[in-house]
Amino acid sequence: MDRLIVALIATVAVVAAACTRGGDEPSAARSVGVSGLPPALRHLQPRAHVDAVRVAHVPVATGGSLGRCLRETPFRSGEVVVVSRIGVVTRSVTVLHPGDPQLVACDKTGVPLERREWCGLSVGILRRGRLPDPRLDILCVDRRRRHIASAWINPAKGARWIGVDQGSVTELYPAAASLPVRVATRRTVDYRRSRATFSITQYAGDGHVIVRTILAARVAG
Amino acid sequence: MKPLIAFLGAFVAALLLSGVTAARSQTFQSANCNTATGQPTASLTRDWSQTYSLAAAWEGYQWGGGCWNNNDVDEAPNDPPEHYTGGEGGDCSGLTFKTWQEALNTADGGHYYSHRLRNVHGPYDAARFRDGIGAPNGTISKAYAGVMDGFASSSHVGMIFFRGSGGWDQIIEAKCEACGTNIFSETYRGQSAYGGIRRIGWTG
Repeated sequence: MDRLIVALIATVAVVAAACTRGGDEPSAARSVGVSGLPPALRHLQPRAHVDAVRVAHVPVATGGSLGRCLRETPFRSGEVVVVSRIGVVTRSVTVLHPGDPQLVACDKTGVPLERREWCGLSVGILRRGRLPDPRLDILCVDRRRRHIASAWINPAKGARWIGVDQGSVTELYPAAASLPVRVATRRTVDYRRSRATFSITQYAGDGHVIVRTILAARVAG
Repeated sequence: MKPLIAFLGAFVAALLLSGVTAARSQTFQSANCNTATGQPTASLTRDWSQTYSLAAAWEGYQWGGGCWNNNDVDEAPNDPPEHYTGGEGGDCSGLTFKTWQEALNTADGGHYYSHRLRNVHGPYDAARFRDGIGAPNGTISKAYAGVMDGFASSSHVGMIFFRGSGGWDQIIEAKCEACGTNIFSETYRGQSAYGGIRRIGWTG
């Protein structure tokens, strides 16, 4: 019996270690929750909210909600890399077709835009894995008709988490698939001027701050 | 008395220095453009739109921009690509938004005149024009696209200044920082990445 208990404890320990192991890129559904954060991030002010992220390779000809997003992309065949995120104000998918420099994002808030489930759509051109422009989209609204701004952030070298100040929480977006991270906010959206600002802090895997920036993004192109 | 003179001297020096700094940080937009609201108008004709868009030619290109004068000089040339610097000119979607007299409210399909010095870009990028998002925007078959209709892809939009032949059209477009805003011969009509788009509600 003792051996069985030891074996069970060992198994649980191995699984737990595997689930919380460091590294920049989750490869499957993951939301570590605040308890899974390094100590430096557990007591952020405002408090941390950790988003769920999932990376998957899927055929372009996919059905359902994801399929409706993929039909908005220029990709017509083969498999794509899809980074799905569930955040505080939006759900988003970032889509990359291997070998194609175009990066596509679909965003949704639960409020359709002209009957389109995915109210946000952005296309950027990757240059050496980075986007020169964040490709701001401001057409989504929440249920109170407030405009939502969505944009991509290029992770700094070594960044594991992209923190966005949402006022009441610091939303932590896990970096994934070595791609720019799609973030969103309803704060500081200047709809009349087609621009939005994001207060960004990038964190390493151990929780130390790599860089703090204010991203001023504009609808462009 | 001496402290007062010293204080006044320091004050004047600080004033001059702050003036120098302000002049250095001034952009074309901060010096020339305004944020007035669009003025409702009853009509929007294709002829008028041609004339309006032509004023933007030779005025340069500004990523995310929507303000220009009409002196045929780009007063903020050589910006880095895909960077907003507050320079002169519109970008492709900003030029289309103003030329098509659109409203910021996407549900409003009415006509709203924007003076060329009104600094407004609008909420749409090229991909949104391509998809016909917004009450004023529609999609059409490229074969039927005529004067001041347009072609849009996920990364660019332009309007037909003259319908051409042999697959070529004369397109008025804010093309890029290096190429500026002008009328260019383009084959967008035959390119699969481009769709036909139309301003809904032409009055002539």
